[in-house]
Amino acid sequence: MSILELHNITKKFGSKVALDTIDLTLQPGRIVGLLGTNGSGKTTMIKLINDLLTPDQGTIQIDGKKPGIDTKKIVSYLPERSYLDPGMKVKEVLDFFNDFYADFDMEKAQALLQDFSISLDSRIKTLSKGTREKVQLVLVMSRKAKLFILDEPMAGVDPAARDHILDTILSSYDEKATILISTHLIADVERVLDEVIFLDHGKITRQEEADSLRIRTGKSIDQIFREDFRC
Amino acid sequence: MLGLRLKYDCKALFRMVWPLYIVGIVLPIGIRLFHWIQDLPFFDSFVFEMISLMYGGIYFFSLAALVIWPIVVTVRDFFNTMLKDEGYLTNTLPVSRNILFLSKELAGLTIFCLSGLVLMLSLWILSSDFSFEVMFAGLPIQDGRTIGFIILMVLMILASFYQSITMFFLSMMLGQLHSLHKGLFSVVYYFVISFGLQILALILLMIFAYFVDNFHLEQGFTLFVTSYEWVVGMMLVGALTIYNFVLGGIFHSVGVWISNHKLNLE
Repeated sequence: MSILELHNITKKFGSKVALDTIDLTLQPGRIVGLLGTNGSGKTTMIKLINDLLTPDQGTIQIDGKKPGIDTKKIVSYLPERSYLDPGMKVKEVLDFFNDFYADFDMEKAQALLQDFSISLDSRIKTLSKGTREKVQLVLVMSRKAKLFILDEPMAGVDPAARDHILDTILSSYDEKATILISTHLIADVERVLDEVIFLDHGKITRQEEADSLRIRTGKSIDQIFREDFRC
Repeated sequence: MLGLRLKYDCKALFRMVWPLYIVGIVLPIGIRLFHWIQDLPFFDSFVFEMISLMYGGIYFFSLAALVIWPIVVTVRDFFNTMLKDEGYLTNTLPVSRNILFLSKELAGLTIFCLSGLVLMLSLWILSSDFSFEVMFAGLPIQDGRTIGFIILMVLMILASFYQSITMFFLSMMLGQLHSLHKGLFSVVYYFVISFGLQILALILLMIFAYFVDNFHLEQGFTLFVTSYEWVVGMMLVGALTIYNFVLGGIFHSVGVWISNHKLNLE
C-alpha cells in the first residue's frame, strides 16, 4: 500500500491557484525530492498533507487514512520556520515530544543533540537560527515515523553543516519509511534522492526516478532543474 | 491527552503571569510599611506623601492588571500557539482540535482563578482585618442564602471569563480565514460579535423586565431587600451564568469547526 496518495487536489488562495488538480502517489521506503521555485506550491502541498490547510477539492490519504489524529501519529513534519516555544529549554522540548509522540526516541534525540554540541539546558530563544533548525531536525528525526516531511531542512544552516545534517537524516530514519524533502538546495541533496517531483505553478511537471532521469538526460538533477525553471 | 495539554498550557501561561503575582504580593507589604513609618517625624513631609500616593496608584494598577492580564496572556498564547509559527507544532500534534481548544480555555480559567486568589491575598496583606464578611456586609443574610449567592456570583464571573476568551478565540479563528489582514479582521469580528451580543442582552433584559412587571412589583425592583427579590436575583445571576456558559460553548464549537475544516495557517 502507498504511504501517501493525493487525488485531484486543488487549493486556491482567493483567485490564485496554488495547487491545480494534483495527483501524486508515494511508496514506502523512498527518499523523494519535492523541487520547485518559490511560489510553485511545495509548502502548500506539505501543509495540506499535515492538516494545516484544507483542500478546496480532492482527497488526501496517508497510509490509507485522511489527515487527522491517526496520520499525525505516523507523520514527522519539519516546517520551514521555527515552531518551538522560545521560552522553553531544549530538555523541556524533548520532554514535550516524548509526552506527545509515542514513537519518540529520547536517547536518540539526546545523542544527536550531543553530536551537534547543543546543550540540553539552553533556552530556545538564546539559540541562533541555524541551531534552532538543528534542534527541530533532531526532534523530527528522532521519531520512528512512517513518513517524514522536511520543508527546507537546510535553508538556515551554513554550507559546512549541510552535509552533516544530510548524514543525520540518512542515518536516523528507518529504511521502510519515506522521506519527502522540499528544497531549493538541489545540488546538496540530489545524491540521496530516489525520486524527484518537479512542481511548477501548482502543477507536477515531472515525477521520475532520480537515477533514470540522470541517465536518460546525461545531466544532474540540479542542471535539469535549472533548465526546466529558467526564467 | 487533555491533562498533558493542560500541563503545558498552564506552564506557558504561568511563565507570563508570575512576575505580576510577585508585584501583587510585594506592593501591599510596601503600603503597610509606608503606613507604619508615615507618623515618624523624619517621613512627615510632602515629598514622602507624594511618593506614598504614587505607590498607592501603582498598587491600584497592579490590582487591575491581576484581573485583565490573565485575559491578555490567554488570548496572546492562543494566537501564538495556534495561528502563528508555534501553530505548526500545536496543530500537528496527535491531539484533537477540540482538546487543544478546551485545554487553552481551561488553562486560561486556571490562571484567572489563580490571579483571583493572588488578588485576595494582596488585599488581605494590605488590610489585616480584610474579610468576606465585611465585603458582603451589605447583603442581608436571609435563610442562609448568602453563601449560595456568593457561589453563584463566583460561577457567573468564571462563566463570563470563559465566554470572553472563547469569543476572542472565535474572532481570531474567523480572522484567519482571510488571506490578508488577518489581525484586522479578527478585531472587526470581535466587535461584530460584541455588538450582536449586546443586542441579544438587550432583548433578554426586556423579556426579564416584562416578566418582573407581571409579578406586580409595586415598589420598583430593588435587589435583595425582600425574600421575593432574593429569589429573582438568584435566578437572574443563575440565568446569566448559564447564558455565558452556553455562549462560550457555542463559540468553542464554532472555533473548533473552523479549525477542523477551514484552517488557513499562513
